[in-house]
This record gives sequence, C-alpha cells and structure tokens, in this order.
Amino acid sequence: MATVCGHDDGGRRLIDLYLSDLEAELAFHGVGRRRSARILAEARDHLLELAVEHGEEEAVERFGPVRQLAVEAARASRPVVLLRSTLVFAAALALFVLPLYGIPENTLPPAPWDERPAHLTWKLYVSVGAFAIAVPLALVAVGAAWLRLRRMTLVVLTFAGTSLAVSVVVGAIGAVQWAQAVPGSGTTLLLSLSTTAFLGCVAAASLASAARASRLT
Amino acid sequence: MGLLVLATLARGPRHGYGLVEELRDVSDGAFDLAEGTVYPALYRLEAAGLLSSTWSHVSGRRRRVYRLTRRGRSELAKERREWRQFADTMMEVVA
Repeated sequence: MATVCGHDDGGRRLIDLYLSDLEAELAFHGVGRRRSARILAEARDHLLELAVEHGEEEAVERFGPVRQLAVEAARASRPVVLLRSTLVFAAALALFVLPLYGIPENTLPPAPWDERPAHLTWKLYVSVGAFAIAVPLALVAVGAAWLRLRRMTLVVLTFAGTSLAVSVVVGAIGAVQWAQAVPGSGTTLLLSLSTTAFLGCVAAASLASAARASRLT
Repeated sequence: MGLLVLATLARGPRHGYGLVEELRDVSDGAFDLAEGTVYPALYRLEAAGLLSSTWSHVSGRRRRVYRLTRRGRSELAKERREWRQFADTMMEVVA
C-alpha cells in the first residue's frame, strides 16, 4: 500500500502541495475568497479520505488536475458573480443621484443669469437624459442576471454603462463650464465631480467583473 | 454530470467523497471520473436551487453534506423522463 503521509519537496505533504497549487489556480481564475475556502476545505477532506485508502500520490492523481478543477469551479460560480456585479453596478448607478443632485442642490451660489446659457442647458439635458436611460437598463440587467441570461445581461449592462459614461462625461464638461461661469461654485462642483468619478470607477469595475463572469471558457 | 449527481443524491444525502463512491459502486466502476470535478457540479446545482448543503461533523471531521431540494426532485423526474425517451428512441433505431 502506498504511503498515507507521503512527503515531497522538502517534507511538505503531497496533499498540502496540491492544495496550495489549487488555491493559486482558483485565485488566478477569479474564484472568490469565500468560495475558494470552501472548495479547499472540501478538497482537503476528500483527499484525506482518498489517501487513507490509496495513499497520497494516487489520491492527488484521482482528484484531477488543479487547473481543470479551478476552471470548472470558476465557471460554476459565474452566475453568482454576474448577479453580484450587476447589483453593484445598479447600486452605484442609484448613488449617482448624490453627486448629480444631492451635492449641487441648494449648495451652488446663485447663477448670474436670468436664463441659463444654451451650451449649459443642452449638456444638462443630455446628462440627465442619458442617466434616465441607464437606470431602467440597469434594472433590466439585474432581472436578466437573476434569470441567468448571461449574454442578455452583458449586452444590457453594456448599454447601461455606455449611457452612464455619456451622462458622466457630458455632465462633467458642463460642471467645469458652470464652475468657470459662476464664481464660488468651484468647490461644490469639485466635490460633486470627485464623487462622480469614484462611483464611475465602481460602475466600470462591476461592468468588467460582469463581462469576465459572462465569458465562456 | 448533473443528472448523475441528482440521481445519486436521490438515494440519500452525501458528502462529495461519499457521492463519488456511490456513483462508482452503482455503475460498477464505469463512472470513474476525476473526483475533484464533482464539486463544481455540486456548486452549480446548488446555485440553481436543486441542492442544499450544510456542514456537519462526522468522525471528528467537518464535511459538507448535500441533499436534494424539492426543486431538485422535480428536475430529476423531468430529466429521467427525457433520458428514458431518448434511450427508447435510440433503441428503436439501433436494436
């Protein structure tokens, strides 16, 4: 019978080496820490039981290549990652109301004009309009992710992200022009733009995560 | 793989190792798969609501035990019907 406590590589048990390789592969394939911990715990339990009967070397062999296991584990956790990423995107989108309205509202100094200049008006409407398009699209994406419609989720989320990007870019240009035209509004608009930039990064990261989760391997 | 896992768990709750053993025994060694691959299948079925799992202590060792949910049972019944229909059709053609 093969040794149960076989040692290799400076005395480390084969099972420990296998598990540390598996941990690295799981991280490489984007499996979350919690899921990874569970896989490793179950793999350890399984390998130890196999090793009692067949020895460590055969146990590791029978369990399969770490890369194959990591790829399949990553694929299995994709619906969850996709839904979570889509929810984070929708949450970031909802928070965009804060820099768009929450900060400027009642904090900007009075504008020195009776009628807002046209070049600011159209930027305001485009920014708000694009945001208004992004919101329902994000909600549709959440529904699609919930129903595990991977491709549809990504397509709708991409449109929502594009609308949001248009809203943010046009809104940011408008904010800078507003700050130049209205003395004393710079600090408020800088705070507003910083919050927008942060939320934009969160939305972009969640979109990238959703794209990765929806990709086939 | 999904159908095999569901059918095996229909015989009773099991942890990963027990599931692979049962699958091998029932199939007389025909399903001798890379044992680690059963876990992604279990996670996929669990995420789909067809299985539930809990940690339990057996012989001083912590194990994740999987069992069929009600939805898992009806999915198994559906897949069994489809598989039987497919097998019957194949037999008519090749027999």
